[in-house]
Amino acid sequence: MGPRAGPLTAVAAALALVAPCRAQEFHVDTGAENRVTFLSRASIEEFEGVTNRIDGYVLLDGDGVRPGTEFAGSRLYFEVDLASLDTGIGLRNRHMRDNYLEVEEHPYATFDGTVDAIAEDGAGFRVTSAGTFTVHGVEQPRSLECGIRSDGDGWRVACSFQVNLTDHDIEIPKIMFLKLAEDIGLELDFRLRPASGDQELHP
Amino acid sequence: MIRSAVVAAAVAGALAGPLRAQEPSWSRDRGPTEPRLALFHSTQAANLPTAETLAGGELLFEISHRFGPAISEAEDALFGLDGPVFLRLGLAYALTDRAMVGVQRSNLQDNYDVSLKLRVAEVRGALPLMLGVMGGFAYNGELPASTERETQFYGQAIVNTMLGDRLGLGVVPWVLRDPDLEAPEAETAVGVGVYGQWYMSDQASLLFEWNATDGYSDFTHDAGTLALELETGGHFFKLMVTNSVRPNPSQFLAGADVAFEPGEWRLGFNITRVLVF
Repeated sequence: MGPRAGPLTAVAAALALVAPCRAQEFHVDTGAENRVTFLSRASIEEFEGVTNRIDGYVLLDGDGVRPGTEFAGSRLYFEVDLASLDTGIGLRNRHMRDNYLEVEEHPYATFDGTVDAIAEDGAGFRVTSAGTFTVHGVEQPRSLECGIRSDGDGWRVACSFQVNLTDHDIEIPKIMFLKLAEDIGLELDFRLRPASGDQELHP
Repeated sequence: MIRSAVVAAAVAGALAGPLRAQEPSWSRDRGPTEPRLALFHSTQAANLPTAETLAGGELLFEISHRFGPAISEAEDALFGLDGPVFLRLGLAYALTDRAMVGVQRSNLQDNYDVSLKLRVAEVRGALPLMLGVMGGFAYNGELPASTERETQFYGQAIVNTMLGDRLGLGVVPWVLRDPDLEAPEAETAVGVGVYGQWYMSDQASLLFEWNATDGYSDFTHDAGTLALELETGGHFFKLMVTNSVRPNPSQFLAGADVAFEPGEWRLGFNITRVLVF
């Protein structure tokens, strides 16, 4: 190492490491009017379950929410508290919790993934991500597409997708009463806010 | 030179501090929702109440039958299904998650019943407890001319527990004013009901219920019931054999007029449906 190589190398290393400091972290605003809905359309009964208990984060690498930016280091994670689902009938809630979702052993449905792309979509953006969706303790690879739009200092996020219960080893009683559909529609509508302490991180 | 390297490294270190933000700062700040304690699945055993209540705003509709002829009358009355039938129609509404009011009508003596049930307390633990109280007023619209007493009152304390995950047990001490409206003098009856329910699966269970009385007037026998209960997301179906055909609480509590013997068993059923508007 030459006489000046030491400090220059150190500074270069520092700058290389500084670059990712532009990462932006957002947390689900658990105090906002979030809403997670699942919709079951079985042959003889249609019902939905609702909760506001969603939590998680988005960690964006690159230039934040900008089309074409790189997201090599981006991560996102969401979880829904399944025991809080309310179908409107207390007894049905208990059946959902105990018989189908078995929330005592598997309290959360989670999505853990990375951001693949962001594209402009009208006044907002469409975010495509890939990762693992877990419910009932069974993981399945899944891509997720969500619409986001600016909401104060954060973002409002809306996603919808289908979940096949058999894929997650959720048993559906078929002999007595088929009241739970094989495919459940999931709709997420929630707010993200900059993580506290990251004041410079605005959309 | 060494000093310069140290300074640069220090600057790099200072700047690199936020790099740790590459790992999310998020952490779960609350645990999963803990559902409220639930022991018995239904708000009633065969006839006696459990301490369970509906969720606030829910309605419960009930239709119950007790067939008059005994099952032993196989040829003459098709195991009792030919009737006549003692019928109860009921509607209950949950004022809150802990309080429900009910109105029910039995075609036996045109008995109209208004009741209030409160889920008072729950205790979690290895031997969980759920406590409730229930009180009611009954008006009988069809009575012989020999009596002018048309009303009855009753009160019940309800203690429920669960042994393991499958066996629910209940004790219901009760008091009833005027168990037999045709008796010459008004009386106050007391007794105790017990029941146990074995949840064989998530949707099927076996139920045994016994109501012990001191024997008042014509109702000199304890009332026993064996039932199979099937449940779905909003329905309960209870199919039973019993020696009591008196549907409403002020009638059932007084006792049965035949013994709980196989030759006296009657068929019956309860169907309830939870409704939300």
